[in-house]
Amino acid sequence: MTTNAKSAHGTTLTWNGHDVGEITEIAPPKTKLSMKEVTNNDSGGWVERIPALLDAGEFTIKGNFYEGDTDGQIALQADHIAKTARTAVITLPAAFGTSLTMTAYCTEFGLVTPQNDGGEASFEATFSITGQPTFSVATSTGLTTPFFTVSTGTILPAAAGDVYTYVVDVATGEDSITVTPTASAGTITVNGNTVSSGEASSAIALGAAGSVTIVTIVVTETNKAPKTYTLYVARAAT
Amino acid sequence: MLADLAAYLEGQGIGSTSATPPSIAVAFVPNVPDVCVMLFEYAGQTPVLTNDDQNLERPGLQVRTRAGRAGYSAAKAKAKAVEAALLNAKNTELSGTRYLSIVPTGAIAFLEWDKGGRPVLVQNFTVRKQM
Repeated sequence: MTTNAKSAHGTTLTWNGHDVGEITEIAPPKTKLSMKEVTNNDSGGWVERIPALLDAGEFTIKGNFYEGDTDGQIALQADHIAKTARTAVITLPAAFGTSLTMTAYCTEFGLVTPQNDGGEASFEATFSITGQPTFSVATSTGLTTPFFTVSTGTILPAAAGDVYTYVVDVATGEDSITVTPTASAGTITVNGNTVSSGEASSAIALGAAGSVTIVTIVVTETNKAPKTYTLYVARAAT
Repeated sequence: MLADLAAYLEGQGIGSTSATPPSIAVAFVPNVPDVCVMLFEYAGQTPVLTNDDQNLERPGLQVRTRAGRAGYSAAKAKAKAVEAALLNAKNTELSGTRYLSIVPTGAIAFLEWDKGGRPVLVQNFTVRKQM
């Protein structure tokens, strides 16, 4: 097994469009769904709940205090005192292609100055998020024109980059199919085998007449979420 | 790191790195002179990594101080001088590397009488420096 884990080192926070420097720790927010209890005489002896409000909550950061970080740490402290909400963006390292954008208030800001062990002066800040944060994951472009073709059969609906499920009707006499995908970027696999853009896959054996065979096309760009297209190849019974 | 600190201690009048033999020895134990300071490094603690790679490392530094036979007090005095000099090296740039602090992890301790009957004292430090 190969792990998909990646290091979070290099995660950044921008505050009002400026990087906050020398951060050593970011504890991102945990969105919480409040539940409302609606237990009643018909609940059958079990507590019943329904979803209520979502709360994006708080997040905290720690870092080495740096008095020269005027657009970052110092601006943060000023916005804290002024009670000014700003756009905050937590961006994971490029390998993730992931960021979290939100509007937040800095609700706590303080310095830590350890004396005894010669440790570096640091700062800590807490943020309270207002409204809905945007969680963004970079996605691969996927298939591009002409998307994909098949060696036999009819594709429904017409092939497109943003349609991810298809039915391919083939005649009963066909016992295999090839798929020719096209993508301007990334790696393409058909049923797990790498295929060059514009080239036909190796022949994929179809099931018995009347059966459905699933063919999967996956387009993956580096550091982006893949796009997956599923073809249900239906071999006619007669 | 050891070369930086040896040069720093020399600048503080603790001894000499260039004399033959040196009275500040980097990572070795000289036979002479009797009175000398020996610097060694060890793993220390995990580094402090920042999001923008202004990373700090926290290596360990071991300082051994030796004096002549029956020279325990002289060895102790030399060790105290080294300790004071290193404590004073906070937020200092040495040979292009920024040192935040050099702090003892404990008091000066007796290590051994060496084969020549000379007292050897030891003190360990945690160094915080730019990686």
